[in-house]
Order: sequence, then structure tokens, then C-alpha cells
Amino acid sequence: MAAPESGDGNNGAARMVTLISSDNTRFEVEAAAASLSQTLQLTILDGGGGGGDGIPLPNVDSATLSKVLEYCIKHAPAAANGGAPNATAVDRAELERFDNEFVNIDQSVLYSLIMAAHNLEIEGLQSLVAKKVADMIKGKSPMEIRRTLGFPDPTPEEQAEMNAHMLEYGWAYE
Amino acid sequence: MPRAKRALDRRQRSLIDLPEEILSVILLLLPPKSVLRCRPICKAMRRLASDRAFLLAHHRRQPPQRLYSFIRDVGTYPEDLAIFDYCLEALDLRTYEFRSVARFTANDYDCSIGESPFAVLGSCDGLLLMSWSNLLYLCNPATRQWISISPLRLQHDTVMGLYCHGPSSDYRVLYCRRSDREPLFFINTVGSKKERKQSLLLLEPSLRTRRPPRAEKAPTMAEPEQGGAAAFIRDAPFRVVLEIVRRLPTRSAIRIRAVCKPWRDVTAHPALLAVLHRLQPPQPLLCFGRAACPNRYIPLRDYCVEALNLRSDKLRSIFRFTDYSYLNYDRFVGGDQVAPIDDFAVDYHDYDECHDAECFMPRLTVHASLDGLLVVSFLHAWYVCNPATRQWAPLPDLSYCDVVGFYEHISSGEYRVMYQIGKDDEHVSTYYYVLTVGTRLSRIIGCPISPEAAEDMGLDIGLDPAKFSPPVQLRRNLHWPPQERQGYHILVFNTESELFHWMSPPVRDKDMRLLEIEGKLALSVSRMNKATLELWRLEDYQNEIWVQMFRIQLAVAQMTELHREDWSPAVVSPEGDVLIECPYRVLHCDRNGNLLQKFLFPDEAASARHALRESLLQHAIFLAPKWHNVSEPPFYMGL
Repeated sequence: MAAPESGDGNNGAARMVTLISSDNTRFEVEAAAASLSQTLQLTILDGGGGGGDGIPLPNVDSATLSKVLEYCIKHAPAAANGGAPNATAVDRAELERFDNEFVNIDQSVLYSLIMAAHNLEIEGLQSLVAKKVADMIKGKSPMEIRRTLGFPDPTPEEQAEMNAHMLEYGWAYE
Repeated sequence: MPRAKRALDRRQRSLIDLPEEILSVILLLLPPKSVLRCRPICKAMRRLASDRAFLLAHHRRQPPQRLYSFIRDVGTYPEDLAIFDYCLEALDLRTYEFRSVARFTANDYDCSIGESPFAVLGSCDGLLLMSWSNLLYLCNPATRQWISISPLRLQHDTVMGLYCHGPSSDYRVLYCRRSDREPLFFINTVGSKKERKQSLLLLEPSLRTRRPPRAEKAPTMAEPEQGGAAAFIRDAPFRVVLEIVRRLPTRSAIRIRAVCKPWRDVTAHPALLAVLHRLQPPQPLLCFGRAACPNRYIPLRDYCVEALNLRSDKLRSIFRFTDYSYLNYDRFVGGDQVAPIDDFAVDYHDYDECHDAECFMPRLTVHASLDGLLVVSFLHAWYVCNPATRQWAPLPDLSYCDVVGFYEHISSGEYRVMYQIGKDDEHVSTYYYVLTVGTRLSRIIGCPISPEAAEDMGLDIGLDPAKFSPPVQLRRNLHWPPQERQGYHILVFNTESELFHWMSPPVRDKDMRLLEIEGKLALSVSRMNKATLELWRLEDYQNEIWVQMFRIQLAVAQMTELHREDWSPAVVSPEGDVLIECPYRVLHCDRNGNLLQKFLFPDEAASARHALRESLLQHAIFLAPKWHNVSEPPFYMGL
């Protein structure tokens, strides 16, 4: 997996840092983008990750990390502006469109993304993926939720257990 | 030596005159509690009993005691109260005597989730590292001092040890975070909050070499094989689950429990539900009635309670039911053909006796709101309801008295209703009663005033009922907004000692309401038909120091209805939202005084005195078997 384009690479002042995924792929990104992660921010402020060193991320594989960085690079300029104040409606609409597109992914990718967002403490991404999962669950019956999320059909035992629970709060399943 | 010890207890004067070395030898023999008690005796004793060298010697002298932690069921036959005593006792190996070190009472926990939520994770230098569900504390049981240790997430982290870091004398907690591939080790220095990231050991070059060789690539996460979603939720960290569940409407948050067992275990966990409850913004409740079929001659009436989302200005039904309209009821009384709509036994016959003269329609009345529970009544039927889960518990008929408060008795976990009898009667004093939810028996507490309060400031003539002037519970005290009949003092009831006393508000004015903001008492100050409001907060409870948070000037010119009618505004949120009650309308303004939204109530003025913060937490009061002859509240028709 190759490193994604690192935004405005030839912006003279931009500092680059290297992140190393669990399978030893190296990613070079702008420090500003990587700093969206609370976990990495301190290390980067301390001057880590520059030059040949790199910051190892033993929790994140390269496929997930490239996806995470795609998000960070897209969101870094807005975050640098302090979010909303300077952003125009067009910019925000564009980010929103990007976000919607971004989480339109396979479920297994989504789960690794959730864990990565959590481990790296990227606030915006955390709420984006949480919202995606919530939307997959909202307004569905337990069986529909099972189907949406790729559960196998319930065993008779499981079915009995589900029914017992649905009896307890009958109104919630009407 | 024992003689000397007895002498100390008797506080003979000569004892103090003993040389310090001898005194300290005596003190060494005392148990920790007695050493603490010696401190107030005199300056010399205080110095001696606080001296670091002495305390260290005393500590070294204490025999190590084996700790046992266990739980004990509080409830007995016939019903399981789902309450446990969580106990920690120390066994003295010389005497084989047990001594209680920690004990508290709390709700049952879900055994399927795992071990008891209360655990001792480490012991070092007389300090105990203890956890209660996901909270972690370092305590000194001898002095009862404690500190909470914040950044750990116990679902996810395993505490490996507590130790004293030699060079700095800091106490540190070593813990391990499970992950798919390799465990990560962290160190938390007790008393600081930010070091977690700095001590991410795998980022330290010196330690990186110590990592065990990596095993084969773990296959987890990669394939969405069967139960992938189940495993995901089961193993996901607390924060991840929280972020998902808090975005779900209540109904979906309950539904997901039926999906599968791992989901149920995680999403019904009391710790998760408690945090969800705290994240809910309080929503003002609007109580009103309306004609169910306004354009037809069908005498049906809707009785409604709706919650207002102050951010979206949307109303959401909490309670709604339809019944024959009272005004038309007479026409039907004679005819047997009219069956009640619901088996909810409404008895209108003595309606006039039990209701305020000015209120000529029966109302679905909210008397109190606390922890997501509402005390609600319709005529003679009284309930405690949790609208989020639709659970309910009956209350005895309280229509003949004034309910003045609803609170949690913290040391027992009971919910209690307080009411008064004898208000405004010149010939008798007002008496206050306490009723524990789940029982039918009330206990009279009379009119008890704390000895610290110099005089009765109007307790004797009674309080405005809680449906108009709801109190706010903070910790163990219940506080009523300043009322004219209390001389505009804040009346306080200590729920443990059951005594009343008073506090001073920052201003004296006509119309004041209390609310809770970030664990502090706040006061909305306004006057009828006046455009200026203030919000004050009690920053220092002990010294009664109030600080003004906002002053709001309503843009009255925007709101033409205010020129014709009487209106009463109040601040209802920490953000400074204002609700204005006027006949047949409720107006919502922001903190700049600008009108945001109008809500019309053509039939009956809505009252907006309470706020609801929804909770899915399991309350023991709903688990008890229901009484005979009590019908289920029909408050959710079509909802």
C-alpha cells in the first residue's frame, strides 16, 4: 500500500512526520494533519516523528491507516482555521459530502476505522463513525439490525432469548 | 503501658506533660482512628500525632491484614430488591477478627457481564486502589482520604499494580491496554491527569526493544465473519459504544438489547446508562390539555405532557391520553351506556373537592422530576413513571394534600415523596410527611427545624406545591426556590437528618426558580410582565456566594402578545434560554432576548415548571410487584 498524496506537499513551511503502521508501511504526512490525533499531537509537539525516526502505530494496519490519513488530510485545513468561523457554507457542504462518501464503506473496514479513531483519539472521525453505526441501527427491529450487520440467523435458543427481551419492553418494538 | 493508654482516654492533665518520646510510644499502641482523635486535644498532641516520623513508625507497626471483599444481598423475602451491600473487610491474623474497611449499598449488577463492579486492585503503604464499576480511586481507609484516578478505562484496561516511585515519591498505577495485536502498557501518576500520552511505553525507544517478538498476524477485525458485529460491540471500548448509543433515539437504544447477548450486556450496563443519563440535556416539560376533536361535537379531551428540545425547538410527546371531557361529563353520568375508554378507573364524582377552584379542568399534572423519573397524577391516580422505559410504580392517592418534594434518600437509595397537610389553616400547624415509593405508609416528620436556624421563617404556614415551585436536590439536600411565604429565603431540607434550615438568595424578588447547573444551584430571577431576567449561580455553597451569570433583556417589541396579556418569564437552561408562559402560548427566547419560537395551546394554558433528563437506568422501585386494584397508567396512547 503506497502512501497517499500528502496534500500541498510543496508548501515550503509544512512540516512532515512519518507514521509506521503495524505491518511496517511508512506514511509521510503533514504534521498538521497527523495532529488531528490527540494521541500523536504530544509526540509531534515534542519533535517526534521527523526525519528517519517515524512513529510506530502497532494498533493500526496500513489499509486502515491510509483511510484515517485520507480523513485527516481533508479535515486538517478546517481544523487549522479553528473550525467554523472562517469556513464558508460551500466548504462545509463539501466537507459534509466528503464525510458521507467517506463512511460509505464495507463494515469490516468501518470497525477497524472505529478502533483506529478511538486509539488515535481523532475527535471528528470518532463522531463520524459513531454516527454511521447509529444510523445503521436507528428505527430497525432487532431482526433487521441482525441482518444489516451480517449476523447469522438466530438459533432457536437465541430467538427465544430475543423474544423474552422484546416482551419486557413491548412498546419499544411496536 | 495499658495503664498509660487508659490514662490517655481519661485525658488526665498530667499525661500531656509527659516527655514526647513516651507520649509517642503510647500513641504507637493506638489504632489509627484513636490517633486521629488525639489531634484535636491540644497543640502538642496535634504536632506529635501529625509528625511524619511518628506516622511512619505507626504505619510500620500495623500488622498486615488480609482483605476480603464480598457482596451481600440486602433484600429479603418476598422480593428481590436488587440491592447489594458491597463490603471490604480486613482480617487480623492474630485475633481472627474481621474489621470493616469499606462498605456501601448499591444496585445489583449484571452477573452476566462479569465480576463484581467493586474490586480492590492494589494495596501499597496503607493506600488501597479500588474500583467501582468504571471509576478508580486511591483511598486511605484509615483517614478516609481519597483521590480519583481519571484517565483509565477499566473495560479496556487491566490494572497490573500500584507502586511508589522511589525518586519522586509519587504513587503510580501500571496498567495494560488490551489490543488486537500486542498489549500496550501505561503508567498513570496519581494526582495528575495528562501523563497518559507521555507514558505510552511503546513510544519510548528504551523500552521498544523489550517487546516480545510479534506473533503471526492476528486475523481478528479483518473478516466480517459470523458475529463480527457482535464481537465488535462486545470488545469495543466504552467510549466507542457510548458514542454510538448516545446517537440513538430511546426506542432504538432499548431495541438493540434484543439483538444478541453481547450487545445486551454492553448496552444495558449501568455504567453506560449512567453516563448516557448525564449527557442528556434537561428538556422543559409542557403540561396541557386540549380538545381531541376540535372541529366536531365529540366531547373528548387529550391530556398531554411534551418535552421541548431547546436546540431544535421541537416538541416530543412524553405522555398523552384521551378521555371524556369533564365539562361534558355530566351529560353522561346518568347513562350507563358510556363505558370508560380505558380501564383506567377515573372517578370524577368528588372531583370538585380535591382541586383548586381556579383550575376547572382536570389536568395531567407533573409534580416532580428527578433522575429521569416523574411523579405524575391524574385526579386520584398517582404514579412514579420513567417515560424513557415506560416503567411505572403506583403511589397512594395524594390528591388531598400538597406534594412539595421528591428526592432520593442517598444512604438507602430509596425514592421518597414529601407532602404537607394543614397549609394556610390558622388553627393548625402545617405538618410534613415522607412517603417511601413502593410503600403505602407515610411517616409524619412534623415541622422540624435545625438548631442552626434561629427561627421558623414560615415553615409553619406551608410551602407552594412542587407542581408550581419544584425543589432541586443537590447531594443530600433538597432546596426550594425562594417563596413569598418563606420570606424569600431558600428553604433547605436535609434528607438524612430530616431537618429544615434556610439559605439566603442573592436578591429578593417576586418570581424565582431553582435549577441545577453543572452540579451547582442556580437561580432564575424574574418578575411578571418585566423584560429583565437574571441567572445567578451559587459558586460557594458553604459561604453562600452567588455570582450573576447572565442578565437578559427580552426584546418585548418583537412579541406583540405580551402587550395584551400577563406573562411570566423564566430562565430554563445553563445557556440562558428563556421560556415565557402566557395564556394559551409559550414563547422561547435565546439569551439575547430574541424570540426563537412560539408554541400555541388554544384550549388551556400550558405549564412549564419541570425539566426532564431521560434515563434508561434500572430503578429498583419498578421491580417490586404491583399492588392490587391499581391500573396501569394509560399515558402512552398512540405514542
